[in-house]
Amino acid sequence: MENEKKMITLKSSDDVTFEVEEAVVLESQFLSHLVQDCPAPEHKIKEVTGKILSKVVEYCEKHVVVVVDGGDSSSSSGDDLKKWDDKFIKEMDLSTVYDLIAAANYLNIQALLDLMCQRVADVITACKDHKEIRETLGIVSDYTAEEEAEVLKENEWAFD
Amino acid sequence: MESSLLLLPQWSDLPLDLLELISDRLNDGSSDTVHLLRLRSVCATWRHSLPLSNKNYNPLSKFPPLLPFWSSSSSGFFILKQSSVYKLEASQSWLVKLQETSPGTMRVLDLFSNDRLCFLPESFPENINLQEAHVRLVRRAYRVEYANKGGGEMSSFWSLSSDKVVVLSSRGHSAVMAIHSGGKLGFLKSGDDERWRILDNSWNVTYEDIMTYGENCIVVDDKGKTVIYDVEFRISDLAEGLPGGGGHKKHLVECYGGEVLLVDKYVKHVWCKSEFSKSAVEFRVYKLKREEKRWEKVRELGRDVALFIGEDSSFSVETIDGGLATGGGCIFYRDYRDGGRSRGVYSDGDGVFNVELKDAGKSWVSY
Repeated sequence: MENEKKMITLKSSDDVTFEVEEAVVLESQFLSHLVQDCPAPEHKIKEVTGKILSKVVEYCEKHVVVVVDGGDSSSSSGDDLKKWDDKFIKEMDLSTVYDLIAAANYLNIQALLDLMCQRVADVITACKDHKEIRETLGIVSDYTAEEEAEVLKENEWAFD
Repeated sequence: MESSLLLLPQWSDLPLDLLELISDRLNDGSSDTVHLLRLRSVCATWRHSLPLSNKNYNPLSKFPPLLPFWSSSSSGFFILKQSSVYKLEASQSWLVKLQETSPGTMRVLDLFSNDRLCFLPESFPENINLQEAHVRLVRRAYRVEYANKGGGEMSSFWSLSSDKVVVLSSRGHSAVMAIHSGGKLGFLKSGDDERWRILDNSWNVTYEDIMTYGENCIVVDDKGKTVIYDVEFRISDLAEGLPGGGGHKKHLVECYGGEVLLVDKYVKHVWCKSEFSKSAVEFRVYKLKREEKRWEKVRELGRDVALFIGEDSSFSVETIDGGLATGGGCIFYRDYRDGGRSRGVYSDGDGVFNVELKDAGKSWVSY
């Protein structure tokens, strides 16, 4: 007894379209409100590119299946989902992670935002020092000599 | 994709709330001043975004400086103290327990007893620069000190079974949990008229050790029966007790990767209920089998791990990483027969860590 699934089309900033089930869209708080308030068949998301939106859709589709089939023994369990998440983030370069953080934040998908932030945190934790964090994330130090001295002082530990 | 170099994301421009989300997740969520300082060293924008007074790095700031005493009839109160065990790599490697006494000033404490170490080895640095030395948080510990209004401090008091407490902290919720005399579990929530309440007042349960586990708290009783509380104080069973109840004092230890171990200490004078067991004779170790809800005996610890059983925190250290070459496979504890010096014991291969066996030496645990 399968209910007829309502399909919704999402269009990225660069006009790539994705046809997804309504349940997938509901993973995003922002999109659920949008769909409720404006029952058009197609929604343009100006802030997200096709490349990033495809990742968002991939993530939401995977996670929605699990919730719907929650009681079904043959469906993905929490462990499988975690493995999938791990693979999902491992294959991703940091620039995509950055864009996905922005997208997950904008679309209000908390689980995806958490996952991406954890990935960045892991990358930072693995860095030996602040210089390696700069190199890894491509940040150029913008300290003045004065601030640099303050930072140095702040990083001193004396043992009493 | 060479072209992507031109489109590199501006991590330094990350909005503050997102930067905080990331910084809260450093080092498996146990964010520490060291991480905060490291992030603040990266660039000026991050430094301005992440103030040193960030509450997420300092759960102590969520509680008043003086916590009420267990019974309101007493004029005394508790002072919550935080210390952290770090692996510190400067010119050589050290395992140190530090308590910040004023910003930037650290007091070195005994790993096991929390006594201040007044005589540090000559090779121990007088100060270190966190930008150069490699400093890694191993475990954070909390304890309470009793004080009365006259200002005098007492080293022991009747109301807590040990001065070890755990602090649970997540967005919105913070609580101190402690085992009170008689083995009852007490908690005190921040902001909630701040008084102690009892959790699980069953007459036949005597809790012995408590440990934070992520955002949750694991508690073991004197028979090895183990439960977990979440931040809302919802309880679930983790493991049945040990057959026959096992030894005399249970200690919980979290290993890398989140594995939970139970270290069961056997002592000679069982009737001595004091925390300072004067005669540990052996230890046995069990591993939590969460799906089967039981403890499984561990015959030997891997050579890459050492366990430390201290008074306000027990922890595990990876021994290969960081040049701490000795002590793998050992349990370290404070031996009160030997003037309180630390001692390391190995298993005989059959899961018995007998203190009469060869001492593993204390070269790397002293500090």
